[in-house]
Amino acid sequence: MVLLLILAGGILAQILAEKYYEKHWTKGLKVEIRFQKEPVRQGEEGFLTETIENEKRLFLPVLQAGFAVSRNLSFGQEENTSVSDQSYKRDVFSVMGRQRIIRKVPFQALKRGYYEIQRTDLVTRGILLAGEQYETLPCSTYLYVYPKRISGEKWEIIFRRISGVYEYRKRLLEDPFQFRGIREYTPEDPMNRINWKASARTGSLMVNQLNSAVSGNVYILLDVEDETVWKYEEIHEEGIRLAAAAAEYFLSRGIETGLITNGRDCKEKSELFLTGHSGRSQGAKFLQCLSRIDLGQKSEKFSDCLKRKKEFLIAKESLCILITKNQYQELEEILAELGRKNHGSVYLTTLYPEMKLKIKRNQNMEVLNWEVRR
Amino acid sequence: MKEDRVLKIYGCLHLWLFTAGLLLILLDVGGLLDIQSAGKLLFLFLPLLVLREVSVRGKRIWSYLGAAVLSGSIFWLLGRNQGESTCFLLGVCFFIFLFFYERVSGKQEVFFRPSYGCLVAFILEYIFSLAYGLDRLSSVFLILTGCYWLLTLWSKNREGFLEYCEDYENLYRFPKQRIAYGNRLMLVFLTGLTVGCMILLPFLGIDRGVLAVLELLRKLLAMLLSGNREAGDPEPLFPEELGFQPMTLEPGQETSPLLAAFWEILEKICTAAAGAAAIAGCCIFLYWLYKKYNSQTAENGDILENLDKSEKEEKKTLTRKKRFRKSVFSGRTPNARIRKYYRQKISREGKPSATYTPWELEEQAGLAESSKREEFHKLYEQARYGNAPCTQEEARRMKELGRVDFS
Repeated sequence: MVLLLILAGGILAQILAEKYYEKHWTKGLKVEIRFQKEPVRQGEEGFLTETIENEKRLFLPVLQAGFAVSRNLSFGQEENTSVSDQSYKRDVFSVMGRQRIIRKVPFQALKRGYYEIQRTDLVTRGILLAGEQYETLPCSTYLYVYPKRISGEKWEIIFRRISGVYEYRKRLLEDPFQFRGIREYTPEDPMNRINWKASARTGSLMVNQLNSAVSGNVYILLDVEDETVWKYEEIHEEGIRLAAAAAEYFLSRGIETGLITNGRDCKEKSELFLTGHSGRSQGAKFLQCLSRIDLGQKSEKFSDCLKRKKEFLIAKESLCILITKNQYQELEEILAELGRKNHGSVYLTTLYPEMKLKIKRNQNMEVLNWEVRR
Repeated sequence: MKEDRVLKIYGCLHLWLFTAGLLLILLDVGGLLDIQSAGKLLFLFLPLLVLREVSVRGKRIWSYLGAAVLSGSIFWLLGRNQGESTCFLLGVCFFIFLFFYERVSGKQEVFFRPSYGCLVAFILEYIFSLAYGLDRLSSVFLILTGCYWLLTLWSKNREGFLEYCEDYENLYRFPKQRIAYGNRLMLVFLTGLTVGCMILLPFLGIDRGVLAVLELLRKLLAMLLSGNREAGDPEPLFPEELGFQPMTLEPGQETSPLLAAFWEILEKICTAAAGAAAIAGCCIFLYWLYKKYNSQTAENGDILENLDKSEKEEKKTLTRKKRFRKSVFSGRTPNARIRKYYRQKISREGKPSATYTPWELEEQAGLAESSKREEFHKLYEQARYGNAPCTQEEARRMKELGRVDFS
């Protein structure tokens, strides 16, 4: 009888310990997975912080925390990550009682986008490291990967021409009631600009300078539609990069910049639209919008999209910069009309070297081409 | 799985315990068991280790045969008489056969792992010793069974740990040392709990209760099978003359069996509680040591922080701070007393309006204008709005003015 009781004692102890562990291992256990606060650029390195907090005294000799994230974020440590439709990353911890473990995991952002982690899967082993127990905890963290920066001589040339259109447009229509200042006369100035009183006072010919009558805002029209079944993801990505670079260029000069695109939001599934504003926050918003464009979704025909926004653009007298690979007549006509009514527009095509530029420039529409390398 | 040193030790202990158990029975049956012969059983460790290593590492059979012959002859010579020598030789032959079989069958480590199945052997040995009235040996087998249980527990745990490490060791930043440490700590707790339960259950006397229940069941079954519908008269638990005994003892009178049983149970519970407290104390001390040692260590680039109690305590103090509490003596200050007398005087004529100024309140209370009312008003304003505290004298004066009829 005593032997049986001894054995029963052994079994009871094991069962009690197992049950206690099974019931309490999740108690006071917090797992937080957080991307860095600052967004990263495509190709740059960021980091992810895993925080495991065990508020109870019971320690967990083994705790495996796993989560799924887009495979466009490369974690490098291949042994900890299995990549299929997503990257499934897992890390093993040993958490003592009343302890917090913070682990920083670096990663490389391979592609522009908006990335989220919504849940964390926890796995632990029983008291004798046998038999697994699972728990899923909600998690909410996100990261914006902004488009890659474009730089170089080619870029400088293109943007000098775009800013040329902007400046020319400004001087084309001067408002006679908006006095800007006085400067010395040059032979190109018409005689009616001479300020005779100022000339008499200074002893040399002086002319009035006037502000432009045209609004200074810029709208970037980004077309990511594929006309055929062929997908031109590289071209569209380059277009997005160009849009980001143009927006940064104009916003850094305090010019109101907005975005109209037929690209759809990766979360909301709706078309993205950003009204024109200036300032630092507008720059962040603009880049966030571009990051959220999901090229996998079917886009509307951009000419239809522009038809809806045409009145709005004319009313705002915006300089429209169209970035597209498409060269159909309807689109060209709409942009030409916008150029005519708003005193200038830019048709910037993004094409592979073997593709031909078919659009012809006219007085109010500048046509530029950006060659996309394969 | 890789060969692990700890598992090897567990395996040796397992085989030794198993063989020693068998030899103990043989020696006792032959009437040869004494402390000296039992002590010689410890030496069985040597042929066990040698034969195992030779069987695993040796390339030719001659080395194994040589080791077997050598071990056999040493243990034959170790015996004091022929019976003892035969017993030891049997033990060594058992090892020779086991390792030879392992090597020939290619099933490595098949007999070298503790398992719950082997517990049956100890149970049988215990039953055998009970059946033949070998009391001394039955106690030894009880202890051996407990030890073997723990050995199995440790072995399973070690196997689980090695298996886990094998699966995940390749992971980047795999905290093997920390897992081993946590696992060891967990095993210590589990061992403590198991030993506690193993000691406590027989100690509590549950066996007597179980036997009583079984006896009851037996009687019930006997009654049902005999066909008697009415049960016989129940046997009185205590003789009638002992039924109503006083709690205090008369001189020369014996203790009541009820009281004696009660004291016995109480004593057992107290002893068990003291034992549990001592074990808990040891565990707490070990845990404290562990916490001190691991207050903040960085491993594999992870930042480890201890969550102190102070955070919670701080929160509590913060919540306490938020709550406004009046001091016990706050109502006894001259200022408070002056305000109290004023309130009493004004409240006598009905509930005062909350939006009135002191002057309006006095008007509402029907206090006629006089020099005393002026003083009354002045004292109140000094206590209510003044920066300097009032004196005890002023408070006393206010009390007097509160009794004056201003009308």
